[in-house]
Amino acid sequence: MKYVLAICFLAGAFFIEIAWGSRIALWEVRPPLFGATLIFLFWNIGLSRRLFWAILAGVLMDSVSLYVFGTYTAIFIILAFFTEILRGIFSHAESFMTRGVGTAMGTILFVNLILFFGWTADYVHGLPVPVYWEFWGHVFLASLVWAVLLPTLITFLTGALGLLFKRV
Amino acid sequence: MAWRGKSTLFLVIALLLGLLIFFNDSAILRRVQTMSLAAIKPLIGIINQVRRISSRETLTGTEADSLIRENQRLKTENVEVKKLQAENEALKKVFSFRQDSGLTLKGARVLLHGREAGREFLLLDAGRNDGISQGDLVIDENRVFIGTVREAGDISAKVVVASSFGESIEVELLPSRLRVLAKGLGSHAFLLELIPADEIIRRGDAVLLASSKGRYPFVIGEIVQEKPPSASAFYEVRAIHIARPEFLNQVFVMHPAP
Repeated sequence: MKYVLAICFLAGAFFIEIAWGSRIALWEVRPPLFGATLIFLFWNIGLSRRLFWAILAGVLMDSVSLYVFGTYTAIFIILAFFTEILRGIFSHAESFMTRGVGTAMGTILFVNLILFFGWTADYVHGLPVPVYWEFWGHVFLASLVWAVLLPTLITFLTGALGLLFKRV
Repeated sequence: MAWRGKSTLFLVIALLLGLLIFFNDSAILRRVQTMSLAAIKPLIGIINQVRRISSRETLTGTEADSLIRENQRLKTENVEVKKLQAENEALKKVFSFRQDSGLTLKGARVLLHGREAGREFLLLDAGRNDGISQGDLVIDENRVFIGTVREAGDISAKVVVASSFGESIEVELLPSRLRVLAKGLGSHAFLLELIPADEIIRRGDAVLLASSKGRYPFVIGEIVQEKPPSASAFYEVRAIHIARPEFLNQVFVMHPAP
């Protein structure tokens, strides 16, 4: 049941981000709903499973991304390790609140890594790379805003669903 | 897992990442890309349908698409009138464009419109197998310039919209016939740079793609704001991109690029 819910969550996040993400983009940065949901789900699974999901989700996002194929896969693999490091740092790693904070930190890293890895991969492949450093400021600000909004939303939804299923 | 084991695994993964990003033109990864895109094509189709239905409801009503196309057509016609006024011969060649130029126009279906880190793009369902390659120019049915092919896969191609943040193209202004650099600002806007103060620039002037041979007048947009120079020796001019890539179902790829 847990896995079915997780897959539904991920599929829903992917659908919403691709269908309407561009319309609610902040400083031209669309809400990283799929990435944030994945980081949230990473929290309670082991490293090997995390890597499996990272590759699967990465290939999915790479198929609809502007960047060179493999960029998202690489970023999700890094985030799988990042979650492991974060879980080691926090003293109450199992707490729901800690999970939300971890997701927020992962979201900030995720948004900024997209730009960094995207540019790097494009440069390596000889594609035109418009380096516009001032834009990174916008991206960073947007990542902060999304890092507050999205994990709050995901944590709230997951908590509400958890309560609902307990009652059922 | 011990930290030593984790470090080894991290190194192996880092190597894999390097291979993935830096050597991803290999046949295996191209195959994975093709297969994954083929697998999610139906999902993209559903997303597009949902997006189109919702955009009709929220944006401009049920006739949004036709109004936008009508608007584009009128602006294109306006450009043509201006060109005639300037006694420019190039417009006459537009009608016999295909015969004159020797260029081939390849139709491609738009799979997806998206935005990523300031850049707007289209995912097309035609790629290298259809003769599309990096750098090809993309126009819509009204000869409005959309952008250039950034990456061509076997069965798909990614097109960056010209007005995306950080993109630059050489454009020609009408009626002044001045050639300048247009920098994409995102949100369908351009900043036109280094226009000398002694030029006559007016709001509504047409912005065309400056091709190497100067005879394919593809419309890009029009000037919406011109700030006469005060202390500077140059104008500060902004233009809008009249293309609406978010509503396109089909585009035409020019190969080879003029």
